[in-house]
Amino acid sequence: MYRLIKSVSKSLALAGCALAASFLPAGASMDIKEITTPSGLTVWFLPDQSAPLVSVSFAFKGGSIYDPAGKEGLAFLLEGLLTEGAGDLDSQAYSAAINDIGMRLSFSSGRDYFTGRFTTLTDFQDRAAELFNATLTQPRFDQEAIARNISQVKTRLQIDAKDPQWIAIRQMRELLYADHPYARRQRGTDTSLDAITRDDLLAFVGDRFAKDTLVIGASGDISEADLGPYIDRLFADIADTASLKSFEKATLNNPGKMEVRDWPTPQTFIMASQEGLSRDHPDYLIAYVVNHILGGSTLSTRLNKELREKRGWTYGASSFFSLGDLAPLIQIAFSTQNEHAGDALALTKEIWGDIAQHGISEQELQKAKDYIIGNYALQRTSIRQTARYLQGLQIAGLDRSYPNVRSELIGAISKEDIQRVAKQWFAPERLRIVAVGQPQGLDDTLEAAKAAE
Amino acid sequence: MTPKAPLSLKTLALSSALLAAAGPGLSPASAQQNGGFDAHQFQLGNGMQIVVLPNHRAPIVHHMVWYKVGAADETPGQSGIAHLLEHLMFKGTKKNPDDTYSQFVVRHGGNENAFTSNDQTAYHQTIAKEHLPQIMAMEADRMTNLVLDEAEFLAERSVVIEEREQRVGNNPSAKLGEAMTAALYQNHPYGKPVIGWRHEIEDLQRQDVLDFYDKWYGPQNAILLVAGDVEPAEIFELAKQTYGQVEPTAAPSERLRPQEPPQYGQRRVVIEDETVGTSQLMIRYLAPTMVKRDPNLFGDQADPIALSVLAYILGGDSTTRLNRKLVEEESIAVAAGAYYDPNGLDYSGLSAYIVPAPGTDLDAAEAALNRELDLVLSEGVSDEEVATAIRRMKVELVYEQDSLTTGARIIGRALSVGGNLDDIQNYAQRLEAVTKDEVEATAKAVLKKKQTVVAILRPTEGS
Repeated sequence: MYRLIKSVSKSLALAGCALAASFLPAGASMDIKEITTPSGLTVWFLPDQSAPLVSVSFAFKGGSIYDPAGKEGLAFLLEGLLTEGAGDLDSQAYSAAINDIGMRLSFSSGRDYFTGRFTTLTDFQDRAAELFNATLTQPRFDQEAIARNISQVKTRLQIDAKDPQWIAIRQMRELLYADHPYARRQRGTDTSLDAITRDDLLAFVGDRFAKDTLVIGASGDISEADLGPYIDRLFADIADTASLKSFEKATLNNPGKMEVRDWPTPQTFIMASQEGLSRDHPDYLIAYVVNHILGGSTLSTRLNKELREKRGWTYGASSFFSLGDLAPLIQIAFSTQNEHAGDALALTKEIWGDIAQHGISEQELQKAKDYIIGNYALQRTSIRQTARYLQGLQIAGLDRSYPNVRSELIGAISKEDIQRVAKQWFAPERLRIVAVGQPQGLDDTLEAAKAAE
Repeated sequence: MTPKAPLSLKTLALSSALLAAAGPGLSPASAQQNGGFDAHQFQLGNGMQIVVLPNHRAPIVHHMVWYKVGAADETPGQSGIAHLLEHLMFKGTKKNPDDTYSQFVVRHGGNENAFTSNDQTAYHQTIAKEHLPQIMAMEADRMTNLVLDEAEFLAERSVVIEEREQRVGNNPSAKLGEAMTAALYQNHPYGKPVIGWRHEIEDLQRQDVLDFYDKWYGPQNAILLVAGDVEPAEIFELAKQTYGQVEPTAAPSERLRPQEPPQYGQRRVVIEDETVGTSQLMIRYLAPTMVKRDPNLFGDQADPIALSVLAYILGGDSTTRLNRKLVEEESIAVAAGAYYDPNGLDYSGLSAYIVPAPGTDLDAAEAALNRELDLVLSEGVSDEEVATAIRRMKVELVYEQDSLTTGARIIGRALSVGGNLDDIQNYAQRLEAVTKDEVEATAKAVLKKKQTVVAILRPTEGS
């Protein structure tokens, strides 16, 4: 189930996380190196000798929205097919070569970006570079492998179709985006998958794997001097420029609308979405703090205090940013037993608007800042995490100095900033809601939602 | 159908676990490629074990306390009590009331969580190193001083019921996993779900939980693991000042659970449900562990490390038997594999699974899977397969160095079921020494149909 498993972790593409908040222990400074390789590629790098590994995370522009019409699922299919053979090596020989040296290579298709993660033992880094480069530049796409992978993705679709969370995600996309490309089926349909040919796969590689959109983060046990030439070997012979069309930003539809999908489970899965801030918005960090207080990643958020700790209505409720380039969102998600669904949603909406109405105390703000600042370093405790982090910073459009000024930026946020941004952005009446299950007590909310339309 | 992953306090990631049937087992207790972890072991006067794993990558520490108690130690009829207690351990003490401890962790940017499995319960934090003394003081405090308010107890019991429904109630694959486990163990408490049966969780009372806590929690039944930017001597000193001050309690020193009788026949569990997306089938064999090889079930030839090699030969990567033959060559399946978790105080399982390709029915898929398993017994394995599996398993061990937490988890998991540090430190050498004969003898000892359950998930006709 190699292919299938790979895709499981991606079932929440809509709920893609915000760039992990990052931070340093007080006083420490992070000296991210920017290296220009001999061939002109740019790499952000942090050396780390704590394990004999080199890890490279990379992203090309060219996620699923760039799939040709009628061939939805192309990028998703590529995630698996790229590691099914390259050059002289068929799928079995390729897999043997990779596993013999403990090389790890995986691809992931978002809506905007197609990303990859590569890690090798330093002992085998030369062989790994050859295999990696062949993967990008000489993929085989044997007919047998194409057929097998399409069959696997179709099985994945059958499973998604019965998964309450995936049902909610799909329904939410239709509600939000109507005919914008963000509403497309990222994993395709049986029909669109059958329409994909070997030429489409080759065109994908030729059009989207290009130096001009490539972003690279690297870490590990390698010197700065050796890294540039090494990166050049990895990405040698890919195109200089990508061939991609451009898209309009999405306007989100149906503010305040709720849809219920009947599903025979003891719990209702509730998902709510509203307009969010893009990463380059001047108020982004302030909104990040507001979200942390309401529904961020700890058990002491307002949502968890009220829904989980006081009332026992859920195992956990959380809210998070989804930073699609064409439509940033803020989303909420939780499961609750059907009998609590109406009450839990009403309370969630109340909490969602509470900071705008009443503001927050200095103490609550300070607590949030302390966590957000203090937790930053904990998110990079391995070479692999660090490489991914460095790639993420660049996708987010941040400066190399950002990790060193982040604490100061967060420290400067005031109570007034928080209330202003909460008022402007955190709007319970704008939440689009999808509930999957057999919820009780949603009728009133549904009526109110209809009245608001 | 998931391998029995420990439950944890915090929310599940929003990802679906439907196909976790295919997930690999927990990685075997293992060690660095070149001679194991840099691990330093001590013991306090009150019996608490300590292991320190220095790692100076960043000024951060990972702190864990493992209790040698889990769901399999529960009194019959009180399933879920070990896990519910794990949740309630965050409700405060007299000295650190309510969520003082959690607030301290959050305030300093730390992460905390806890998990419960059949054999152990563990609490852990990751935080900047300068906060470690307070963490150790507060963790030592809640080892014996938990205060439990009735209202908080009731709310948390509801949270756990929600957790159960989220993990199992909404998920046919998880329901099958429960049914399969219940059938695999005919007498041993591993047959109960770690989270507990819903009707029994609903009946648990505050005093039941406190009794369980008093019986099992105490320094002589606990292990401290600290990994990160620390020195062994400094941790030993800190531990003496904190954990060392806790009086030993009367925690039972032996964990005697009802053992499995001989098993006479294969059992089958079928879940047919309208919420099932695709058919899948799994065969699970009862298997020995690193610390126990019940001779009544496995004779005297079953070796857990040889069994890990066998699991790799069957399902370690896409070139190994099940995927190569059933998925790539014969196109009978869209997925097929095998995994084995060598951890556990009493028993474990070797699992093989198949997801039939469109057009293949479940009977044909089962026959193909059985054919491959039988082939191991009738034809054995090749020298090359054994060498390849060992080479690839060994090279993977390097990745264990690229983590703040992995070493502590591996060691904690082993020590909490009576394993010892040497076994972990010598893992790579033991792995290298595994022979074709040992793999074949182990296969004969473990691959017995009468000691299996076949679990089948299939969509309702026409749904």
